[in-house]
Amino acid sequence: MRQAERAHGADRRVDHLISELYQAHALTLVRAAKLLVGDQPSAEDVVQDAFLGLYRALPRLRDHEDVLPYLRTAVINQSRSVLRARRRALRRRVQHEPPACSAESAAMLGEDRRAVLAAVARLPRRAREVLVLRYYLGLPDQEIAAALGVSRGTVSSTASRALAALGRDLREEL
Amino acid sequence: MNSLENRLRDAFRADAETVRAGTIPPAPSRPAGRADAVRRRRRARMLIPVAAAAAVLALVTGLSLATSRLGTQVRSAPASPVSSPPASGAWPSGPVHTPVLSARASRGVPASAPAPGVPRFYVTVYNALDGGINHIIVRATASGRAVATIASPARHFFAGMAAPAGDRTFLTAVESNRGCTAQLEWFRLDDRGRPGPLTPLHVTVPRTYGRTGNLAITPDGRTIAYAAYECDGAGEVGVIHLASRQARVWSDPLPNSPTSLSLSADGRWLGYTMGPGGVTSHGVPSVPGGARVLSTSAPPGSLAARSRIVPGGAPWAVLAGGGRALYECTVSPSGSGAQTPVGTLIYGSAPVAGGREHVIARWHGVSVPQCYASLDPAGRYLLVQYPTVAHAAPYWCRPAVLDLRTGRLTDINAPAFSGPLDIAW
Repeated sequence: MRQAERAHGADRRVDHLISELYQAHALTLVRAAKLLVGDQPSAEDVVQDAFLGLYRALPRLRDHEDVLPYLRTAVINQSRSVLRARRRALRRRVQHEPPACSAESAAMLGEDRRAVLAAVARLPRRAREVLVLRYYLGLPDQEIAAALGVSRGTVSSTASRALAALGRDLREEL
Repeated sequence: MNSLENRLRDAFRADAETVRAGTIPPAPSRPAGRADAVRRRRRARMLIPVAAAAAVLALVTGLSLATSRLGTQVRSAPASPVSSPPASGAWPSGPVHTPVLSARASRGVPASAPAPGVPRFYVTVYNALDGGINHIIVRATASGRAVATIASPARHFFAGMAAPAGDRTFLTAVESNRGCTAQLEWFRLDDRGRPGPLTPLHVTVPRTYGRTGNLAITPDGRTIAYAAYECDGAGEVGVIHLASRQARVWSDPLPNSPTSLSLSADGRWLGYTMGPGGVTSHGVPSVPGGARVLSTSAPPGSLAARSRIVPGGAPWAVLAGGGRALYECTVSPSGSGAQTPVGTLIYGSAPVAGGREHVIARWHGVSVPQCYASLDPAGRYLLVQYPTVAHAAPYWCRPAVLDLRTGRLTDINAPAFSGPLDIAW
């Protein structure tokens, strides 16, 4: 009985911790995921799955500083899964419309911003991820490398190539 | 730092901030692992004797109450089937923006007698991420083929779509990228589905912000309802009687957002559903979700206080014909698939005053069930945005026609889309 109470107490502490983390980071993560997957419902699912995964992963994480990098990586991996699922559907030749945003989103974005986002959408997946992590979340290259599971050099070169491609696409001199 | 990087930051921030604080769901609850399951089973075993005792106690209490009532021949009054929602606490501080009817305002949107059968065309307000396109797509119902598109005017976008009866006329709101207003305009399709020019009604309403189901019109084209949001003021619902040039507005604190507007055929009743709300960042208490009905002759003021809650809490509903009944959709969750919720999707009709629902169609095991649909102006068919698992991704829908008399669902051979979208037909 005492063992069960102890376990219950530990569960409550974990629940509380995850709830606090969610309060602190969920909105930013959903926003970042939205930039990766294109729509809010999928982004919410991505972040929900990341936090569900955190329940399982928490005992493995050595200290609290590991939690946010874990969540970022989980969001990126889940976003990739969403995009993979869409690609699979495309290969099955299921008819679909391109990803759509709400009229609200369309209204909030000016024409220049939409052009930039459309150009970003045409970049390869990893380039998009690097740009979102660097220019939306404002992460240093080292943390981007950790989140993506690549070297810092790869992050740097990917970002350079992505910016060059964007510059060409948007006809802007770097 | 160069200008491209600045543009990137700016674009990312603007796009990301369309996900508003408070609109995301709460933290997920602890997944049921093996240890949890074992613990629950243990707890359940411990609770069996307690539950049995409670059941016996409840039975005895119920029997004694029933006996005492029979003995004194007292009959309790039947519970009121329609209840008023609790009044919300904090009220928005911003102004309510009333519609403006110019001197040239039309007396109605052209309408005619309902056409027989399934409407031949349906129109969708569609927003594509690629290139930021916002346009209206006209599709043939029989083939699903895109017949025409209407591009939004420069620096404006289409938000909302509704149709009066008959002759393929559609009402839309044309909203400015800047500012807080929208113009109501209509267009008509010819018999091949080709749209005529956008024609202004000369009626300005507050910006509706493109929420799904933010416009409704009576079959005769004389009465329009709109829901508007967040132009430095309240969420509001307005009803405009074009023929008499009268307008009334009811406001509600954000983020309690009315959606799925519908009007009874005579324009005397407005139906809408309230989203789950729950946004706390505005410091506004949320109101219960579900369908509501408002008399369009109710005095202006609080939307919540003037409306009646329709029992059942349906997440989607529209008024049928005279406004005494509604078509509604409910979802009964039945579990979870690999990643997505699975449930039973039920379309039915029910009296507004409460009472038994007549089930029209029911589908079990629907992945990510959602309800949004559009009633044709003649009130015989629903264009259902049926959830599809074909994409292995949630929130994708395929359009299908639900015959309200037979419950038969017929696919429209049109592309699936990430829904819900504003569709009228």
